[in-house]
Amino acid sequence: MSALLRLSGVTAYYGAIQALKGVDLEVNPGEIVTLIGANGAGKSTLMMTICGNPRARDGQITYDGQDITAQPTHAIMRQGIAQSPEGRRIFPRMSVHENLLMGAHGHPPSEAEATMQEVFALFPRLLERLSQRGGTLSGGEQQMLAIGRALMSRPRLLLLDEPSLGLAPLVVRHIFSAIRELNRRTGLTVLLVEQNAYQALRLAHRGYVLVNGAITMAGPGAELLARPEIRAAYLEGGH
Amino acid sequence: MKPLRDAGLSALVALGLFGVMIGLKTDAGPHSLVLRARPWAVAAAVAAVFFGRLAMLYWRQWRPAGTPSPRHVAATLSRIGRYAAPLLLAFAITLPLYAGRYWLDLGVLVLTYVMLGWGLNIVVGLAGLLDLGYVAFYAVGAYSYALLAQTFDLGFWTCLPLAGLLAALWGVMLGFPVLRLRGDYLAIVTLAFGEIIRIVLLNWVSLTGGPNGLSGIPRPTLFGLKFNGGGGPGSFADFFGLEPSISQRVVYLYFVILGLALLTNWVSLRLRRLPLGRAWEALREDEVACRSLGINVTVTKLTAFAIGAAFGGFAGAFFATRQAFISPESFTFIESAVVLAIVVLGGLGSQLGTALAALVMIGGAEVFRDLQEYRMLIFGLALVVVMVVRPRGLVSGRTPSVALGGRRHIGADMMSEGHG
Ligand SMILES: Nc1ncnc2c1ncn2[C@@H]1O[C@H](COP(=O)(O)OP(=O)(O)OP(=O)(O)O)[C@@H](O)[C@H]1O
Ligand SMILES: [Mg+2]
Repeated sequence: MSALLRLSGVTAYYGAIQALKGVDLEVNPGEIVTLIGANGAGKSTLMMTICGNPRARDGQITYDGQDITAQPTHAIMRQGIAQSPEGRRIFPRMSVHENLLMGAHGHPPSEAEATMQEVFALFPRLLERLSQRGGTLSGGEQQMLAIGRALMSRPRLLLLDEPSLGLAPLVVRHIFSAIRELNRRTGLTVLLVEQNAYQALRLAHRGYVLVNGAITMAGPGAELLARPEIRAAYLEGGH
Repeated sequence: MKPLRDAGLSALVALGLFGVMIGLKTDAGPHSLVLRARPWAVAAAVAAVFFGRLAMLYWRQWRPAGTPSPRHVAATLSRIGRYAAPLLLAFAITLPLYAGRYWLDLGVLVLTYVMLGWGLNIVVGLAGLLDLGYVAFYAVGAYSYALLAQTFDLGFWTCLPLAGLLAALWGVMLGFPVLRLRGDYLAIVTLAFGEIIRIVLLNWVSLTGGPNGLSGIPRPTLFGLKFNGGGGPGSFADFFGLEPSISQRVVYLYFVILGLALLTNWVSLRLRRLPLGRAWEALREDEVACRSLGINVTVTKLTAFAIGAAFGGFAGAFFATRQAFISPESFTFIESAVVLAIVVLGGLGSQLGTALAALVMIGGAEVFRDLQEYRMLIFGLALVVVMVVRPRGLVSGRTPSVALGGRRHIGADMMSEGHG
């Protein structure tokens, strides 16, 4: 009952292709939960389905005790959920400042200003690049912008889809420590999708493993890390 | 020998085109038309293309060291831009002081297109929705004013907001079904919509007069003062004790359209700085991202359509009152095409660019009227040249809508974006 986000038996389709095959998942308030899985397992689909795009065909998604399964995307995103989507999807021709303001859409300007200061405290680089066009930022800066933009709506639940994609290890560490700090300081709840399973499981309180559109394993991060089948499938050659 | 081959290819294309277009000429013979071949004219044209292309390619290869680079040109242009806008405005305001009737009429025409361009710019330039049927709203505005004024005996200033409102309503009605569509599909549907409106106007004879159109549309008044050539009580000339003259009306019309155009500009600029305008621009860039930021994409697109349509409607009402006569002939697809060309040539989203493009295209077409058939040739050539030299339009690049400290212009040369 206490879960902030709960998915039960959620399925999702792209036309005739079934991408999610009855997913059960829970995220409790103040938790960092990570979702790992191979390419094409359906991780991004799961994140998008939570936001109602594509919509879940069966099953139920509840957020903060409310059924959001059938709500339109914009209504869902106004209840305190924010997503930093796969591939960042920042607005390339708009400035960093404008990109951030887009994240605070529907919030009063004074509040947006204050939130922006917090984002700058987290990612000082964004302040330096404030008037630069989003499309000309480096990959890491774009990722910071995507996360910063998501934070601008002051979410309770942050969905992060592969924030480490294509980034140097140092930048990944910076972003992961930013997530941890946010979680610790503000109690922000995070659902994190990652290819970098080792770091993600170390960061997260709990983890889920998604295989072919269904959850096959779940448990505390450290516990999953210790399992031999996880090590074999997702940590090969790594740590 | 790449340049040679390239030039040869161009010449071949030219041969294919000119072989028919220039090579064959029809003359009136004694009994019927006779076909005359003009091989030398074709040869000259093809040779011109060959050497022209060759010269262009070599010029590109051995550009003299002193030639300004595109980056430099862009910077200069943006610097000129800062002065061009106020200068242009001053010129527009003072024009009636020294211009004659012909130039004022031309000014009214150009300003009408400037206004249409700025209106369409909201839809195409800001929101990124390709609308090929903008003339529909122009027509709705014109007919709304004409019918309201004639049926209910209302004045121009009363009908103007109503005409805009009705056009906006049609914008919303068009918007609803087409919002799911993107790019090409949207373009086709809006194109069809423009034609539907025109055909309805043409065939609904009892309401619109069909092909005969509507005439005797009332002229605008200034606080109830009429502008008529004859003067008489209640006229502008009578009230101020002036010699009655038609040119007073022309000057008045000129200032009316100037005011309307400036209103369009002001509203566009304001909107760009509001969250709504920013959402339009974001929508143009990435719809999925917008949705996941909690933006109601449907409503946002609808407002763009409606506001753009409203300005089309205002312009239409003005057109009706200026002409005193309207018929479906004035609202053909070519009008939509011209307005869209103005917006694209001006550099999508640029207010100054749109004004300049309207000035060049409408003013230019009018000035070159004496050249008759060469007019279209010059027009086409100008389009090609602009697209080659400045592929993103006359004034490309956008100024961020928010800035801390000085506003920085983002030049066209930095526009080749990568997403990663
Ligand atoms: N828009 C779409 N249309 C059709 N099929 C899609 C679409 N998006 C994803 N799929 C398919 O759904 C499945 C799950 O894709 P998804 O993007 O969720 O995988 P993922 O786990 O995020 O993979 P990755 O780690 O590579 O990002 C894949 O087989 C993919 O081909
Ligand atoms: Mg993915």
